[in-house]
Amino acid sequence: MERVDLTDEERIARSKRRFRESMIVSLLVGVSVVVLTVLYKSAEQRGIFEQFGVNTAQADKAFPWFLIGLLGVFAIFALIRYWVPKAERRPEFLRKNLDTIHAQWRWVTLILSGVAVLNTINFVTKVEDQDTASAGSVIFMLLTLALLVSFGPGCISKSYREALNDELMRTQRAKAARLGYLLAMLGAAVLYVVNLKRPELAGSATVVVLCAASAIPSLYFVLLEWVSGREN
Amino acid sequence: MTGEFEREDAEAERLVRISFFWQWLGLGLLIAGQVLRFVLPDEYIPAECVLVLIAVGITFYSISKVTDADAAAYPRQHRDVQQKRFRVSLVAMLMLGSFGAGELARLPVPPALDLVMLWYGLTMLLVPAFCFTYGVKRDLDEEINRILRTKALRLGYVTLLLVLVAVAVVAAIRPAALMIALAWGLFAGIAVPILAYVVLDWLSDRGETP
Repeated sequence: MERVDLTDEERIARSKRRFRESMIVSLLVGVSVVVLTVLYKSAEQRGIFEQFGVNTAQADKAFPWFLIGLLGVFAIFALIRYWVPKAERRPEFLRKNLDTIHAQWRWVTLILSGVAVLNTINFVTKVEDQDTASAGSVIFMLLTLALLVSFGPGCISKSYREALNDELMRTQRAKAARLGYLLAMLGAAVLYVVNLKRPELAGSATVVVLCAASAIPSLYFVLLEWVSGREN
Repeated sequence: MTGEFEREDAEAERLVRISFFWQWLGLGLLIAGQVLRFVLPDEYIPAECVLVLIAVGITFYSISKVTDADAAAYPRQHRDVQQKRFRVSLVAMLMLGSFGAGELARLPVPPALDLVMLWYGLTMLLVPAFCFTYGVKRDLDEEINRILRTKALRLGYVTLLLVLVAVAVVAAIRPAALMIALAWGLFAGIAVPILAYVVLDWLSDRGETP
């Protein structure tokens, strides 16, 4: 139950505490997913499933759904546990808590960049397993990242836009978008050459160029924000 | 006193009109050259090159019509002339490069002149290439210009990302059409921000002159 008698200072302290907690929980969930995947692959290679009479093909189909279910449960838990109350979404409150919110968006950008790069590497290295769904998910993530960096989180809600989109933030985003444009242009020119010399690599090369044109400006944006003294 | 101001304004306006008459003439010749290239067979390419050379000569002549003394006497009008000239130059570069996009997809070696023109247009958008003197830099690289360029580049960034997504889809579905998709993608990546900048600059309505 939301307490309504909290002062703004108490809300700010709680917001910072919740952010730290959410970061640690997210990290733990990420590590758990990696560890579970490694354990599953190792068990599969050692033939443990056959020893217990489990069909490997069925296990291969079920395991990704198990991971999706796990992440879904975590998402529901996070939504309930870390839901931002209405009082903390007012522009007046957001302005008081600006440093924490900027830091949160920086972390979101950083984590999303990392995941996008890992997904791209995974997609490009597994040439024989490339399918439309995995390509679509990688491209969707990269586009989200690029739009987040160029237009900012302000597009999600009016109060965030009012509080977060200050002059410095806009300038940093514009710088990041300019770098992204140059990288995308350079990448498109490289793609042209790649297609002339090795046409069979064009599909993977396009995803790599898309990744470079999204992830590098994102990291540049985080760097600019950090250098500008908003480290918090 | 009022009469003196009116005489100054009339003199400045005359200067701007003369300058723009020659400039629009140059742009008209450029467009005519491109249309001829589209309509006439390849044997007439030298004639088109002559037209382009005349257009470039006229542009330089129009620049020389405004002297340093004029610039010092009418700074506001001079700034306006510079900015409008910059807009027209961008459109001219785009015009020169545009007809190459189709050929880019057709030929194994891209037509060098068109690519150079497109890249030159892009360079001008990023850093106005004519900023070789402080006066020109002051006129073309002021705050509003920078903001408009940034907005145009952001739009170009989003366009290029969508182009790359389209290229990825084409690579998966119809690899044979990839060269055409890339050629038009490259062209769109340059044309969209340049046109966006020209429109934004025109809409910002800072005109002191007709």
